[in-house]
Amino acid sequence: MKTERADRNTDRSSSSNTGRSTFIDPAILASLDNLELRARVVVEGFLAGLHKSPKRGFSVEFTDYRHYVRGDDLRHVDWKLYGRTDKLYIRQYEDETNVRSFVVIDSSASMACGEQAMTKMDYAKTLASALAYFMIQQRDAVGLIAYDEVVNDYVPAKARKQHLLTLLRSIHRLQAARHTNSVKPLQELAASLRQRSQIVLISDMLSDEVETIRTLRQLRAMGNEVIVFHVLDEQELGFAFNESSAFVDLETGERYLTTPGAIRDSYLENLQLYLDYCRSQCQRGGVDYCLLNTAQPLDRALAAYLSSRSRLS
Amino acid sequence: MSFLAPLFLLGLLAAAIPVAIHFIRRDNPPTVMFGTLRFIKQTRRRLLMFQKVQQWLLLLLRTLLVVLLVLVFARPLIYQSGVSQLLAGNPESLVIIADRSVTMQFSDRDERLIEAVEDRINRLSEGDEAALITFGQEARLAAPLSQDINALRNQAATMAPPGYHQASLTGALQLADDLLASSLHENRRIVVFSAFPAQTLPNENSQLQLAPGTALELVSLGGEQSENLTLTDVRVPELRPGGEDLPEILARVRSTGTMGLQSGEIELLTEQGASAALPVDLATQSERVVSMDLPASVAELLSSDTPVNRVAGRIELSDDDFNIDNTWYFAAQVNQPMQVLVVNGSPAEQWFDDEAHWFNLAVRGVDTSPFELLSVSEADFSAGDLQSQDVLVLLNAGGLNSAQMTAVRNFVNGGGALWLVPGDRVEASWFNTAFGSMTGVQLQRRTRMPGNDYRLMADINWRHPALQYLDVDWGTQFNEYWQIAPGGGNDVLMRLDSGEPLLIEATRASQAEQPGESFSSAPDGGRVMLFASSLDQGWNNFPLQALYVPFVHEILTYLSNPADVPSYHYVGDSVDLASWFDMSAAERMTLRWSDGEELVVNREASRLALDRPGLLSGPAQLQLAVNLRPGSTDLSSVATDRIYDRYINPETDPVISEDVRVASLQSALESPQRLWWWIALLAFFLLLAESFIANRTYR
Repeated sequence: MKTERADRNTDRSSSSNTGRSTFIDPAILASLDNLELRARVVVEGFLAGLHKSPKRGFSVEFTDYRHYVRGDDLRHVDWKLYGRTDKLYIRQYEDETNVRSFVVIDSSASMACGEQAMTKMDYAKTLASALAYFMIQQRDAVGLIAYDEVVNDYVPAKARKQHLLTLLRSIHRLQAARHTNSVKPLQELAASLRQRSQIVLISDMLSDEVETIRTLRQLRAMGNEVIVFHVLDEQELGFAFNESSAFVDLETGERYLTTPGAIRDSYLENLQLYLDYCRSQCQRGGVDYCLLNTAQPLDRALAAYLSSRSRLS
Repeated sequence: MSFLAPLFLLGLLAAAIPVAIHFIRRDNPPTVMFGTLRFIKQTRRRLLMFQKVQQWLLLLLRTLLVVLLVLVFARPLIYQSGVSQLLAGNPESLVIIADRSVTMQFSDRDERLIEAVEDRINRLSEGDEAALITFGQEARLAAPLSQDINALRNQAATMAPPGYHQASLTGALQLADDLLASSLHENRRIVVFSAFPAQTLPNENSQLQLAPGTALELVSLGGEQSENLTLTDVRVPELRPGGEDLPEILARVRSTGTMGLQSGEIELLTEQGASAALPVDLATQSERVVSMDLPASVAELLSSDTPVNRVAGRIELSDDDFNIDNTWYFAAQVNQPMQVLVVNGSPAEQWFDDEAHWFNLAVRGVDTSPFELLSVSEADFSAGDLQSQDVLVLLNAGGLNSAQMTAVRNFVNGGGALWLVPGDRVEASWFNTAFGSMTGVQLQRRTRMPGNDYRLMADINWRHPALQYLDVDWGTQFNEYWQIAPGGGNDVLMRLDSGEPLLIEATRASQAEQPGESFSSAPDGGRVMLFASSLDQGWNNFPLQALYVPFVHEILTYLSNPADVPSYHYVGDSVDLASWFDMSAAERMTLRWSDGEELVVNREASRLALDRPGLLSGPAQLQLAVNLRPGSTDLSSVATDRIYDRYINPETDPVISEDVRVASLQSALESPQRLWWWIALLAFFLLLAESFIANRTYR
């Protein structure tokens, strides 16, 4: 067990090193208050790294013209055609993809765990913002669902760029509170879906992971592309506490006094069993699973997203 | 358990520090907001229990560590249960002095003394220290200063019974004072149990005063009514073979009891018979001298052909309350006359011209002379004259021929003594050749004082055995004398006021240094003396001086070196039997007291301490009479006030300050324990254990 943990730490460390050289460290990222800026920094940094990759973006093809109506963006008016015909036509592209993505964020109280600068909630919000930014850039329709016990916020999926601000405002308003019930929001989402979609769940999955994964697997079985970003804090993953402390459960408020050094091995053993379960169950159900450490850059998350997106398209 | 530095025990409050930290940390631990407790709460219960046990063990170790460190500084004592009493109370250092002198044999004094000593020991408190000293003529330490009261009690119960010595308190007090100089306590006390007989307070100029602050307590066991006669002195003259004119024996009888005895009887008993008992009238005086005749049977013994060395006997007084001093033993020596041969160098018909006239008068002039004198002229002197002679005196003999000189040398080498008195007939050169190596000196020249001038004797060696009894003023005037070249090694017994030697005794070293006719000094050769003036009136007025006769007698006695065994000894004397008796024949000699008790003396340890009265007889007619020292049985007591005044120091300031005493006491108590060493060692191991466990225990 110790050896495995050591290997994992090593992986994390190397990844972190890579992140340091290419991507913005989450701690630095946390100093950026503006979510949009945060998302842009993350995505553009990520995309800059992708230039070396053979998988180069998506092309947007011209398809047709239509008459200008009031409110259309003047940048899309075909002025050459106006010169010939003296009528205003708007160039239409195949930019309105049929990929619909829903970013589902767990905003329960347990997401408040972590360093004050970058809690799991912050990390999830940043990730959600980056994904939204990235998706909007790709002309994908993006929706948002935030939940704890119930669905707190719902933003329908749209592909317009202006929609990004709506998404970001919703994400910005999210506060970690109350208990978690991941199943119900996901079931409601499944019921509302009319076409194949991409479901991105950002959660710590600390409560009722069995039902949650089962629901995700149902979503996947419905033909949706499902990706789980399992966000856990560095302290939760490493349990690197030194002195006897009173641990307070953020959701239940339960207080438990213990000596971390004495139980560390046992804790990590239990945690590993839990993570293994999550990973194996997700993979078995075709759900993409990505464990994220709040201390790591977001590149892994974006890469995982791209992989999922490519399958869908 | 007691502590030498109890104030440090306040440090025990520090033991609350680890306890407080433990509970404060337990009550106010840092709070960690955590996502879920599910993985924490799934940890094994045994692990948590063990963790709690370790925490409590660490708390215990840390608390113990603090407690032990405090104990180290507080310096605990376990064995001395009475330390607090010692420090806070007033413990006593006591020396008990018990009288074991002869007067303690009187009545029931000894039983009362033992009872009183035991009672005093029983009154000692815990923490007190005490010693026991017994004394008679000398003091003896029976038990040193110690807090072991049981050992002291045992020593007191097994004290030797009173002896026959007289009481001499000064030595015992001196010893007690010395003991108390290193006492544990400042409260020092000496308790003396004695009847305090008269001799307790000596007349000697002892300057002993007890140390300042030392209390003296005198417990008198005397004071009983008593009637006692004692012999304070007995004179037994020397006896001569022949039996004529037997001398009288004088005895001084004294009534020393608290009640005077009006009369008594005295009786002389010898091995040959007893004389009639004589009454002693003490009606008008407390002391009387009684003359007693030896029985006729003693005269018969002395006149018989059987050689007799000694006549032993005893003098007995009639019964009284204290019979131990009623017997006086004696062993009168029967001395053969000392044989003296005088070679007269200048004989004359007229007495005033005769060189040996005054000398002969001095030797023969008393009724009972110890000398037998033979006088010959220088010309008639031959080797045959020296047969059985003890001393050869050469008076102004200046022309001895070689045969005569050979005879003289053989005589001296054979153990005979030689006294040279050179006069006007002697030539210095001849004398130096003939006697230079024998006398160890060289004559230089005759010196005659001008006119009526004279020289006096100015420097006399009074410690010399021949002169020790002549310590009086000498008025002898010397008009003429021989100047003697100073020689190394010989003893100058007398000097003139000019510093020139007058009487010289040759020594082996001086004899070997001087030239002269061959004379090899034999190891057992006789003594040789040289008188540098004349023994007649020719050169001085010495013959007219009162000291002339004793001078001649003492010199001749010294030269003849008789084996002079005293008629009696006193208890406490020490005698060397080898100086009187030939002990080379046997490895050991068995002696027997008059009451049958035997005494074995080894040849290597021939010195004998006489510790009881009686007549001690042995082989070869050895007889020693031992008596109680006169006055030792005086039952009258001296006033204790006089003893207090005599010994108590008026200075009462303590010798040692309180701080020094306490520090000394602490050191003495702590040194055999050093408990704090062990506590410190334990604390060290606890520290190691704490570090070990703390390293394995998560905070």
